[in-house]
Amino acid sequence: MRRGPQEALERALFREEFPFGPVTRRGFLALGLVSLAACTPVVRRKGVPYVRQPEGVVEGGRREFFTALPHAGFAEPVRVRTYQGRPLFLVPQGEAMGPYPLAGLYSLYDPARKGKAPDWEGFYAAWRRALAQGETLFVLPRTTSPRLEALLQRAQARYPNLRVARFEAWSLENVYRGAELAFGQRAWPVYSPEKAETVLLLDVDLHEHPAGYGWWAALSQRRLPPMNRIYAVESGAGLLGAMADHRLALKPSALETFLLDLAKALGVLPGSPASDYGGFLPALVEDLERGGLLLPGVHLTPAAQALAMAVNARLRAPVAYVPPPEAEPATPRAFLEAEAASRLVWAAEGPLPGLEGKAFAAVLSLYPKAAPYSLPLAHPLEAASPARDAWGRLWPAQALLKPLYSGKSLEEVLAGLLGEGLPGLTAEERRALAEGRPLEEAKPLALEPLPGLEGRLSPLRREASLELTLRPDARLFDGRYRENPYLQELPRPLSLLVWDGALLAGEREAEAWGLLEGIRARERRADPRRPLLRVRASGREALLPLWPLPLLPEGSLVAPSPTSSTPKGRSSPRRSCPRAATTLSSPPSTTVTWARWRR
Amino acid sequence: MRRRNRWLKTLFWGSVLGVFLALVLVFSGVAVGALEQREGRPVPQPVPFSHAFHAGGLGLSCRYCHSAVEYAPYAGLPPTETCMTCHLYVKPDSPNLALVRESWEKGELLRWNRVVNLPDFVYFHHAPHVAKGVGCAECHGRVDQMPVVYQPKAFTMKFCLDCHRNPAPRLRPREQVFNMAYVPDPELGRELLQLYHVRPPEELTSCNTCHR
Repeated sequence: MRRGPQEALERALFREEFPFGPVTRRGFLALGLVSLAACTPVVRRKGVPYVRQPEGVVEGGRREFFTALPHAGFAEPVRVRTYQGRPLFLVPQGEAMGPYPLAGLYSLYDPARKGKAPDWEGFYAAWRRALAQGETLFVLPRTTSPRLEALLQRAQARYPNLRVARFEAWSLENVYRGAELAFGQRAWPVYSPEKAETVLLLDVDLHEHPAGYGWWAALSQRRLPPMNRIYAVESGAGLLGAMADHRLALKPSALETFLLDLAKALGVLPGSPASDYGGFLPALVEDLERGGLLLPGVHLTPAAQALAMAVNARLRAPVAYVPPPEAEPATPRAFLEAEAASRLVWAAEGPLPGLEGKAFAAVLSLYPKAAPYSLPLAHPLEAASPARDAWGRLWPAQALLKPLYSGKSLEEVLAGLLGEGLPGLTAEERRALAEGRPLEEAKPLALEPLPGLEGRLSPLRREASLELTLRPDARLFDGRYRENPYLQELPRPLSLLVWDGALLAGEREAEAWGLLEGIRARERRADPRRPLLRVRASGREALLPLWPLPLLPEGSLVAPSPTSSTPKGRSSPRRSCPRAATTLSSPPSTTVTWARWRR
Repeated sequence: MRRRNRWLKTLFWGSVLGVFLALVLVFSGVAVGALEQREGRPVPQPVPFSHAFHAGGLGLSCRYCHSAVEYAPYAGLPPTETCMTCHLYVKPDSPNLALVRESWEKGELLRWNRVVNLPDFVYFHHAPHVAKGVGCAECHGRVDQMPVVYQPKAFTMKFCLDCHRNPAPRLRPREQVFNMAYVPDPELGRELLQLYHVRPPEELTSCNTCHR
C-alpha cells in the first residue's frame, strides 16, 4: 500500500511528539504560529540624550553655517550644510562658486589623509634647532590672510633666520607688475563685468582667474535683453570664450600684438594698428567705445597687463584697483629656492622639491608625504582663517569640526612655533559669520595711469612657430586636486577629457604632423589611444598624448600644468621610448616629437 | 527501506516547515518589532517623570524638552541640563531625581526607554507634520494626561494611511499644534489643506512617501 506524504507526516511524526496528546500537522503549524506571537521580543530601544547639549546641535537635523573656503589662496564664501555635525554639502553665498570647495569635501573625509600620529612638539623643537643653526626657508602657498601675515612678521622678528618664500605654479605676479608699469604702484584690478556694455575676454577662462566664476555669473546676468556684447581673443579654448558673440583665435604672441594694436587704435599708444584683423579690430573698437571692458588673463606678460589697464582707463571701464591681496606674490621661482635651501619647511601646494641632503626638511601637507618630518595640515573646514577674495573683500571663516587627523592650519603652525595660542573669534567676526557678510569691504586705491607708457613698456611675448602655454587644468587646477576623484571624473570643458591631461593642439598642427588622419580613424573605431608626443620646452620635456581641438589657432599648444609642470613628476619621460623618427618644426622654445601610439 | 524513507520524509518536510517559518518570521516583521503594537501599555522609565504634571499641570510646552520637533525627523529628548535648569532650585533633594542629579554631577548619560519605535523601513519626519498643522495629540494622544507615557494608538501602516488619504479632519492651525486640548474642526481643516499646501492624497499615499 502506498502512503502519501501527508498521511505519513500526520500519523508517524506528530502523534507521539507531544506529551499533551496527538497533534495533527495542521495543528502543529497553528501551534507554531501562536507560539511565534507569544515570543514577540520586547524591543526596548533606548533614548539617550546629552547631559549638556552642545550649542547648535539638532539631533537628526540639518544646520547651515557660513564660512569661507580658500582656493589657491582666495576665499570663496560658502554656506556649509551639516547633518548631525558632519559637513556634507556646500552652497555658494554669492552668485557663483567654483567646483573646488565642494569637491574639497572629499579630502575632508579621505582616509588617505591619515598618516602617523603627528609629533607637533618634536617638530617645533627640531624647527627651532634648525633656526638656531642657520637660515631656514619656509615655503608657503599663496595666502591672503592678514592674521597670517602678522604672525609671520612676529615669527621673523623672533627668529631672524626664518626666511619666507611663496610658491604657486599659476602666479599672479604679472598682474601686479603690469599695474606697476601702468600706475607706478602694485595693485590688483577688481572688474565689474555686469556694468559693461561690451566685454573683451583676452585669453582668460573661468578657472584661470580667481574671479572667473564670478565673472561668468556677472556676464550671464547680462545675456538677457538689453544684452551685453562679448568678444573673445584667445590662444586656447575655454568656457568663458564659448559665451562670446565674436571670437578670434590667435597664438599667444599674436594675441599680445593684437592688444598693442588695440591700444593704438584707441589712441592709448601713438601709431596706427598694423592690421585690422579682417575687420575684427574696427568693429571691436566701435563697440568698446560704448562702455567697454577688457578682462585680461593673468598669464599675459606684464607689458600686456599694463596695456590692458591703460586701455581700461581710457575706456573708463568699471574697474577698481585694490592693494594686492598677497603680501608678497607667490611665484614658481620659490621652487628653485626650495631646492637650493639646506633647511626647508615646505607648506606649499604642488610638486615636492628634492629633500635629499638637506640638514632639516619638513613637509606640511594635507596628505602624508615621504619626508623626514611629514606633518598634517588641517582641511579648511577643520581650522579656518579669514582670507580675501578676488574682489578684495575680507571674509571671516570658522572651523566646523575638530581636525580628524590632528592637522593644524598654517596660522596654528606659526603660533605653535612662537609658543602662542591663536585667539578665538572676535565679536565682530561672530557677527559677520552669523550674518554671512564680509568682515571688511574692499578699499579701492585712487590710481591714475602715468603718462608715457610706450617708453616704459617691457617687451611683449616673443614669437615662435610653435608656442606652448602651460595653463591650469579646469579640474585639477595646478595639480593640487589630482588626488580628488570627484574632480578627476568631471569632464574637462570642450575636450570632454576625463582623468587625464593632454596636449591640446589645433587640427592644422595635427595634420601637419601627419597624425590627424590616424586619430580620426581611431575616433571612428572608438579607440581611445592617441599618439604620445615628446614635448620639449625650455630645457624640460614631457610625454603627452595629443588631443586635436578645432578651436585652437595655428601655432598654439596648450598643456594642462598638472601633467607637465612637475619637474620630477609622474610624466617624466625617461623611460625607454623609441627615439623620435622625425623632429617636427623646431622653434627655439618648443619642440614636439612623435614618440609612439599610446598603449 | 521504509525506515530510511521515513527519515528522508521527516527531513524534507521538516526543512519545508523551517523555510516556511523563517519566511513568516521575516515577513511578519517580528524582528523589527512590528507585531508588538504596544497600545496603551505604560512604558516604565528609569526616572519617574510625569508628563501629566509637567505638561498638563505646569503647562510646559512640548518644545521645551522636545526642541528639535520643528526642524528634525526626531523630536529629541531633553539633555540633563534641561531638567537641571529648574531642578537645581525646585525639589533639589527629591529622591525621585537621584538619577538625574547623578547624571548632572558625573556626566553620565540618562537612558530612557523609547515609547514609540518605528520600524527602520519607515521614513518619518516630524518637521513637515508640525509645519502642516498636524497636532502632537493626533498621534501621541493626550500626553498631558499621562502620568507615565504610553502609546495610545498602534502605529501601523493603516494608521498612517488613514490620515494620508484624508488629512483634512485632522489638521489644525499651526498655533494650535502644541495645544493638547484642541479639537480639530473638519470644516476649518479643508481650508487649512489649501492654505498649508498639503499635497494631494495620491502623493501622500505613494509608497516612497514613507518607504524611501
